[in-house]
Amino acid sequence: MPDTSALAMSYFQQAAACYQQARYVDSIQNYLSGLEYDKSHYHIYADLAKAYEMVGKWDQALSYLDIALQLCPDSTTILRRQARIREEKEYYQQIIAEAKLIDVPPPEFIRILEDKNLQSPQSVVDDNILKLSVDPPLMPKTLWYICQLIVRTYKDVGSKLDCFPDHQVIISIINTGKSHIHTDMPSWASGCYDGHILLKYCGDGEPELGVLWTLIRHEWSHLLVDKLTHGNCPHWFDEGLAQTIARPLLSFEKHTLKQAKKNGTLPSLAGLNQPFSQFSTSERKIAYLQSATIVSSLIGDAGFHSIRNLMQLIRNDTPIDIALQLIYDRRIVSD
Amino acid sequence: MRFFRKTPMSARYSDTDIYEAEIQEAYTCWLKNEKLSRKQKSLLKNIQGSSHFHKIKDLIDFAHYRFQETESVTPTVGSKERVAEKLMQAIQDQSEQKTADEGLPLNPQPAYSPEVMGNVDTDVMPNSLKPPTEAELKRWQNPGEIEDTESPTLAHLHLSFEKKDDEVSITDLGSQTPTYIDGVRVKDSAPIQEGSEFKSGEITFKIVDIDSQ
Repeated sequence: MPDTSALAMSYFQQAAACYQQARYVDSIQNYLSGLEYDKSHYHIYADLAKAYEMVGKWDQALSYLDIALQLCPDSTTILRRQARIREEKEYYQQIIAEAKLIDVPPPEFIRILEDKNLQSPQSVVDDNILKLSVDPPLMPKTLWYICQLIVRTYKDVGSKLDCFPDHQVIISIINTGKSHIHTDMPSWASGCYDGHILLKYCGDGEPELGVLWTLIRHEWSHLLVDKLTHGNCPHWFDEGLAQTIARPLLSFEKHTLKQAKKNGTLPSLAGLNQPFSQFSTSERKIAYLQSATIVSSLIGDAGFHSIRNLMQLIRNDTPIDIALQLIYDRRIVSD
Repeated sequence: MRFFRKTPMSARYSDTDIYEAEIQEAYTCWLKNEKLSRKQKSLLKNIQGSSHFHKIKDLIDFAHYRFQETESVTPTVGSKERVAEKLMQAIQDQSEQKTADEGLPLNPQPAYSPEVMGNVDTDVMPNSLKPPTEAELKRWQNPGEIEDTESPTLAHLHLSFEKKDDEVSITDLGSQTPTYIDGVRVKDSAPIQEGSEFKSGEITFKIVDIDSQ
């Protein structure tokens, strides 16, 4: 007779290791396997919920947090997690509901997909404007939704920045849980723009559309900023604008930022001007949030029009501090 | 003989054209010492700040001063429209030129999206092969306290030293607080010499002697 407690712990250990490697589907499977042998640890339910959160399965995440709370009603970590996941669920579901996507793909779209077959990576669209591929293949309805979200992004972000791509935009979407395509992206990143847009998600089915749309908007912003500034844009401004365009800060992020300010761990603007991949995990999170807050306040002061003027100056090699002074009459505070 | 169909303003000119025409108008009003609206003042800030408008500015200056010199001459019918058309043409040519040289740099700097969900301060709890202790659960419950107590100091596994031939190097093991050698951040590993100072967390060490044995 095997020691079930040790067996359960071994699954939980494996689950935590998978989580740290961003292999969330494997992590969930290991947590569930471990729970078949040992159901007594509330923190396991809370961690399983976090793994579900990372694949955008909000309802499953919240139901496991309910179990965790029954076992330990006063846990601050569980209560914080619950509030956060509720907020995420509400936000991402709301943006998709408000997008009013058309459900039924037109017959021409289905015909294109049938012609392109179901091989991996699946080529969805390849015309003068857009080349979209997914790996592994997705359901036609999901692909139809994704195409509509890309068109919305083209229009929304394009009109905000008054800029539209003048070449074919290549977008690849891969499910890291199932795709065999190797990427150089760090494990913490969900999207990358390096001339092409690469987006990744981890799930056992279709991607969560609200989250995917947020990523598309973020990377689309990088594409346009690169075009508008000719690659001269300071990192903090580029990332801050992309974050602001992608979605507003949620309340738990504002709280994180406030805590960082209270602890004196906010970096200076000069400190933010290095590739964000060089920061440690906690520093990076703060850097994204802080940059988004700065850019968002500039937009709040003078609108997107001022952002376009600022990028025009940056493009013409005007240093960012002088550009900020000219457009917003603001000086950079070094601390 | 020319045939033309009158098209609405919105079909003839884009939003950018209209915006630039408004800037021209504001600049012209300013040249003529006319009273400026708040919007015109704000537009004038843009013309000062952006080199993109210099050519248009030059054209307006030219037109304005020429007009002053020939004030007594009555402009011919349609001249006003032709000047406007010419200015618009200058703007559009400039836009085309701008688009033409706006190629992407060959290798854009990679820019990443962070994970859009979750928060780093509540990462999952690392599991050992035995149930967590009270202290471990407490730390998991209060991640803020972990940061407060651990981040400024050394982590349990913060860095390692490696000696190869005559060279000694430091490897940062990826703790929350980075390691610096003589003020330069250690990304993976970096060599150290006698006299070097390295900083981990809030503690600074000085290499006094490297034993070559």
